[in-house]
Amino acid sequence: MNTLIKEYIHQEGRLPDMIRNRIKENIYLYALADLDSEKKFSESWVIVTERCLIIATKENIKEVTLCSIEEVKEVHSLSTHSLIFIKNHDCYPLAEINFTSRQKIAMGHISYLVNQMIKGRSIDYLECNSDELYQESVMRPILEAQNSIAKKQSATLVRLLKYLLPYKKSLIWGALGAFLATIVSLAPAYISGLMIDKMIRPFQDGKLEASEAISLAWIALAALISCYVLREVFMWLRLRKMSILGEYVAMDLRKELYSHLQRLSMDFFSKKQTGSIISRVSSDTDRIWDFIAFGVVEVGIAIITLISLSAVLITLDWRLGLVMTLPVPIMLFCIYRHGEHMKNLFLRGWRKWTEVTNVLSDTIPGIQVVKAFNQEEREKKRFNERNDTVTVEFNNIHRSWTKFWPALMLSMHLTIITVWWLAIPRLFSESNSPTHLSAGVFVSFLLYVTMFSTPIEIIGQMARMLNRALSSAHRVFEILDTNPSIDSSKGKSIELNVKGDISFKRVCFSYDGVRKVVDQMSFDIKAGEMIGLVGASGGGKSTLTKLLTRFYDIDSGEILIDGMNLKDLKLGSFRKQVGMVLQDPYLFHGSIFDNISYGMDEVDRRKVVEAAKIANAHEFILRLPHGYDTVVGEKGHTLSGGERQRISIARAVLTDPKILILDEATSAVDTETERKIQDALDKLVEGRTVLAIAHRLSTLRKADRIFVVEKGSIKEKGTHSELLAKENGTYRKLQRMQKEMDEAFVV
Amino acid sequence: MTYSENLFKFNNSGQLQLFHKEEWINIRITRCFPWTKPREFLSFHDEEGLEYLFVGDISELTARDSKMITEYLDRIEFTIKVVGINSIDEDVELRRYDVRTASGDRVFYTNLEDWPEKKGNGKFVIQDLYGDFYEIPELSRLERNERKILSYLVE
Ligand SMILES: Nc1ncnc2c1ncn2[C@@H]1O[C@H](COP(=O)(O)OP(=O)(O)O)[C@@H](O)[C@H]1O
Ligand SMILES: [Mg+2]
Repeated sequence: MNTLIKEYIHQEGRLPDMIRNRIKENIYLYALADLDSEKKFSESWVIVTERCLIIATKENIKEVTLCSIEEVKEVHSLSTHSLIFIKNHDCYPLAEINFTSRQKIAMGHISYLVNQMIKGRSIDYLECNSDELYQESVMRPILEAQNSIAKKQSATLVRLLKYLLPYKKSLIWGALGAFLATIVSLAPAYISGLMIDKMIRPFQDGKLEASEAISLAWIALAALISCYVLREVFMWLRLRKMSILGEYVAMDLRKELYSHLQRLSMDFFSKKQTGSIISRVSSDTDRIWDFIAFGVVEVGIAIITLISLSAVLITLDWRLGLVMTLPVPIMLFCIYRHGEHMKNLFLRGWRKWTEVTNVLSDTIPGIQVVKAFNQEEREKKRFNERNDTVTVEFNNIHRSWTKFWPALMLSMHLTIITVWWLAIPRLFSESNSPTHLSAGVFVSFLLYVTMFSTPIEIIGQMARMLNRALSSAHRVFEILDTNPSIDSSKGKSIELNVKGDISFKRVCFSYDGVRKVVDQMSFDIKAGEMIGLVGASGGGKSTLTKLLTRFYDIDSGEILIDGMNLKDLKLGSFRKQVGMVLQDPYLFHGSIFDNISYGMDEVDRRKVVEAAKIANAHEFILRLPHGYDTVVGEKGHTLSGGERQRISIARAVLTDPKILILDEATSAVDTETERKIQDALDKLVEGRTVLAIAHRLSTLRKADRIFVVEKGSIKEKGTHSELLAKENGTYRKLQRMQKEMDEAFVV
Repeated sequence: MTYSENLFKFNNSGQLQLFHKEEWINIRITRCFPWTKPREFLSFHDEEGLEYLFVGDISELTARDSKMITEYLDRIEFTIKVVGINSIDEDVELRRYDVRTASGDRVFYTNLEDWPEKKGNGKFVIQDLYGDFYEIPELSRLERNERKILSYLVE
């Protein structure tokens, strides 16, 4: 990590020893302030110890005692952030430090810690290793974008090739086929030359009998035929073995990827775009197949062909051979350069292309709005403009490659012309002169020359092909290397029959490492109790339920279920005992029956219908043309929000959870449906521990207690009447506002 | 609407304050259009977001106030200004920029699908993985080979 930080962002990987040695006290936490007051990049370190805040550069050290700080103020603007340590609002601040967003997470820890310390609260950071916390904070965004830091390309290649090992046999056959096909394809040209020099010429010179010449020629022809047949047999062997082998490797990778994906935790999926994950399983593995099936061998063949061709040419005639082979490296270099140039052009083309597809993905789902505002013409214009630019760009690309390849071929032809030019005087020289060139040798030579261009092309494009395959491999390995942040195989993994006691002890959590979404939250819930969670949106209510179900792990504090630490429980069996009904439930592609019984191994159909009845879903399901067999989900029958909601309630009824979470289950539906859902929920909550989030307070009338959640902590808790009794209470205020709204509508 | 009286001051701890109903209130400024109209449509509000003043154009303030607020905005709207480009490379999933900026040399990373975005006045802005903004000058202000490096990304 230490060296990675240096390598990647050119910043110290840990507090320099030079500064560390000058600090006497134990270091709790530190961070780098990378801007000076003039907004120039600089390096000064902010260090928190037991009594002091220290701001140190290589030259000097400034200490501020913590007890003199009254407030830490954070000021954020576009790219710079400041922490201002204030003693008293009427005098100049004790210290002000500036930094870029790069240091924001680490500085967030400092600000939080100092705030806690000056308020005299206990701090959980003290258990952490200050180096690790700093390094994790600074590298986090890069690690998120590139889960496994780019290793050497050669390492990726070796790792990819390791996937071939189980198929050693096929690989050997395939490679052998490729090798033999290459060698055999060199023979026909030689045989042709031989025919001219040893049969046709001697016959024309009258040195050979016609009958003898003809029989020799038949033999040569037979040899030619067998060469071609053999070559194609070997070719068949290679293509077949390698493409099947490649398919197996791709299959192995996909299997491994998908099962690994299922193990990864929610935070992975919320950080990566769905499209990017899908493309790794689909198109990246496909590219790898392409590389293994064709790339590896193709390049191998090209190299073998080129080397053996050069060797053959030089042995046939070293002068002409050199003329032919010497320009090859130059051509290869040109092709490589051209590839790089094309890469940049493609980059630009691709960028313009995404602009075109953006218009599509923008307007087609939003077509109703476009039509409603009568903007068809404008959208058409917008699309055409971008379509025009992308065409210009692609035509640029075409202009570039269409110029290049003929030019390359021309230079190839030029070398051939040079060969002719050098060969002509020698062909017509005396046959006993030392430089004489026989017609047969020259014909073989010319035939070999025609075989030259393909391998050159392939080798020239090798760099790009290899790059593409390796980056695909890298993207695949990146997922395989991501460790699930919630690893259920570690820890004690106790199977627990949940009773339903829940308690949170000073729980802190943040999604991004900066902002505490749950801040030191503590509460106890007894089994069977129903708790209503209310408060402004964004307060952290849903997050609370995600922590309880361990979709995310908490940063500090403890969550206890029936007195046992959540982290010690076996995740799968615990989740089975928790039911969730969310605001916008997701239905998988499948029948309604499948959707209700999702996650159960064997289900009694009668129970499913029973559950649907309890969920008030039975009626509307029967009104669908195919009843419980109606296919829903993407491309299937579309259900309304309220209908999907009741299906998810039926799902929860069926699993009979001990702990039930209702997250705004009734907020997206009309009053009539709401009543039905509410009625279903009322039946569902009996005898379970329930956490119900709602913004209509009336839906919480059955709740035993209400928690008012605001900015990550619980502002008020108590029964409905206790909270109403509080003067200036938030709950009371909410209640009054909703009542006023309702009354306004009643009229 | 124009204002005839000075409304702003900085207190001793450097906090901007607004005179409102006989009282000095700690104030923050948010620009409605930080990229397209950075000196117009300013909202003056407290930490909670309660708006005390909305100004359509900074020139509506008194000369002194408008100077003070302009300077203040200059200070808080700092972006890192690129003055030269050493190289731009692609890594797996990341694009790496090695640049010289008005604040010093810097290496930063963006996602592959993020491009510098053209803002009014011919400049480009790109946000890196950490959220820092980098301002890239018009192409004509760069050296020839730097223009070439960049042209694939912005033209
Ligand atoms: N997956 C996520 N990644 C990052 N931030 C999130 C995520 N989910 C929620 N948040 C943020 O956490 C805060 C609390 O959200 P949430 O728990 O959904 O609030 P509530 O349910 O009370 O409306 C919000 O500011 C929200 O933007
Ligand atoms: Mg929510």
